[in-house]
Amino acid sequence: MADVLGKLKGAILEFDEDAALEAAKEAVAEGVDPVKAIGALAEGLNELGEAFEKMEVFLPEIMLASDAFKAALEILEPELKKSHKEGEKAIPVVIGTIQGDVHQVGKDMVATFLTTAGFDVHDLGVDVAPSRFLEEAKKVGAKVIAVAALMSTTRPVQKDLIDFLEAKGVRDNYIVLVGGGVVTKEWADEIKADGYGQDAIATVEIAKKLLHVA
Amino acid sequence: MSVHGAKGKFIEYWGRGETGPIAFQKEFDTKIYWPRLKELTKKYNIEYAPGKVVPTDDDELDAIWQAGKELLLDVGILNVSTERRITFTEDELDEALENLPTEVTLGEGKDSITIPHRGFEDYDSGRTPVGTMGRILGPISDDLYEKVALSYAQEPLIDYVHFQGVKEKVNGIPVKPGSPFEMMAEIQHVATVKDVLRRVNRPGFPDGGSTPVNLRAEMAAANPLWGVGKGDVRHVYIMPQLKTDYDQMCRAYFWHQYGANIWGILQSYIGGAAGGPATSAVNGVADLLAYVMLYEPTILGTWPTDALYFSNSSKYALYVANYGGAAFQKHTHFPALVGAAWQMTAGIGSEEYFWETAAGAIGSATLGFLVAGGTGHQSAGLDHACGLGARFAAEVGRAVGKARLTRVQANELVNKILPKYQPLIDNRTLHTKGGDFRTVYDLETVQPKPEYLAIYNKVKAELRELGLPIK
Repeated sequence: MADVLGKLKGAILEFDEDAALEAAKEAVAEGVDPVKAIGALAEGLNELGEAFEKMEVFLPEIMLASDAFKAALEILEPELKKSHKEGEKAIPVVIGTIQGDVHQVGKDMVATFLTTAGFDVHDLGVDVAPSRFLEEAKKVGAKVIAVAALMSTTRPVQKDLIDFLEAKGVRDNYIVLVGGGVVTKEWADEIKADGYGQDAIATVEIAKKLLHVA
Repeated sequence: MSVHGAKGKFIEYWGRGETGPIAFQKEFDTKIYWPRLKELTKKYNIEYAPGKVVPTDDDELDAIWQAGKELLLDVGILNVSTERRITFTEDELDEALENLPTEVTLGEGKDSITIPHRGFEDYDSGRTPVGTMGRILGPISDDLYEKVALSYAQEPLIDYVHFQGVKEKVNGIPVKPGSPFEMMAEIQHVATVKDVLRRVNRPGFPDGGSTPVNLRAEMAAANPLWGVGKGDVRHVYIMPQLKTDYDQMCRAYFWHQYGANIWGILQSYIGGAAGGPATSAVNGVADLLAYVMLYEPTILGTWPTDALYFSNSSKYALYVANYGGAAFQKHTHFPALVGAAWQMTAGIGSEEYFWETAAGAIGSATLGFLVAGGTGHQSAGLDHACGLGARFAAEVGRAVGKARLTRVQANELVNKILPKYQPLIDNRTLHTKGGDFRTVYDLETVQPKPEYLAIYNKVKAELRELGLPIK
């Protein structure tokens, strides 16, 4: 079993989707506990997160590793259900750059750190309408909505999102995190966001704190 | 306006984005761009090492140039509007490089600046620095808008300014992209800047302030009688990394047609999609070449940043700006680039803000780039821009010329300066240092307050102790 778990983790560390799929199939064939198998994948992602922070691996590689993780998960999740085990369900997060703003890099950095920290990240990309955040959050059962704005002129649209959530009576269903170049703690307080991340690492920390997860 | 480089080939080249190889964005990032960037960086043995800030080895620059050129030729540039790659042949690229101008003029009449090509450590072909760019970027309060602009316009050592302060509200209404309020804000912004420039008798002074998100808002101020002048400059974006879209093509097309100028930047996000410092330097060359091929830019600059903690002046950002920029400068005869750092990480009221400015300007002036400065607080804090910072960049550049610094000396000097602020980048707190415009300028006289001048003079005195003969 240790060998298969090593292969799963190794596939993530090598950003190798095919290897991750193979290892997941092998784990199922060998009757490996799916909770442990998913744990090995998560361990790999975690290690990559640490290496990413030290600039030893880079964004495109994390994106590939994240694809490998998702591919293996598709094989392992049905086994989890069959065994009636709960496992540790990743917390869904919806993330995007707000409408009118096409800046991608900061949002990608946050998405990457959230992924490597074990969140189930649904990235809507850039120039995302407030209503689209709400729609996706409902669809995936998100606990967190993370919204980036890199420009002074797009920052007010973050407030629109919070206004929309309130108007629909679902504000309390979600933790709303705001961030991006021009976003400040004062702005977050002014629009009544739940949290503000100065950078990707701080955003993950605040998400964990607000969700009471280690 | 100078039309050059690809010389009218843009219709053909932009058209390739309609028929070129299909690549979805994620596929381009992870399976086309990144593997090739890594391979080329390895093939040419390009490596970052601590202490490398100002390049001293020409062979390294040749390697970065060759790798950057091959990167663009191999992967092209992705048009995200059509999800197709635009590619070029080596002959097309070489021809465009041969056609580049050797000098360019920004602004109009007596207030214009002509920027020539400049080599490394060349202190005899004209003044050093070649020029000074001031930058206002980020949100500026309505009541300070013209005062902040005036603080730059009144500085004789500044040749060119990106008056790019963002108005957040019009009549109390938030300015959002695509809204009519964005058009109104742009009209107010340009009118205010032009009025300030007239008041200081510099009506033809070049303004590179590209503030609106939407092109149609920029177009609202395209009026030669009171608005954007033909000597002014507007931004076209090569998006990170090696991407463009219809909007950028429209911007370039409009401003070239209008008769104004285009600016562009080497824009690697270090630690992000462009990888580490070495791959980011290679990407930077490809960025600049992509501008040459697609947008016929009038002026180019270096604007790499750390992706995790936004900094234009970190040890990594300065490495990428100086190595990537110098590789381009060495292998082309294009007018001098605008060097780092375009915005500081610390707030404008701090010593660190001046040290960041000095670290950037020393490398830039030695390499034959324009120097830059003025904005602080990661260009994100309210009212964090002032003319004194840009004046200081010019003074540092002049001192470099007076000392005739070699690249080795410049590298040594910058390495003595980096410890004064890099630790605060490493712990992600540098942006918390220093107050804003209200705290550092007298709002009645629009002059730096004595306590602010004391900080500025303290850093100058310390620079003199380090051997830089700054006045």
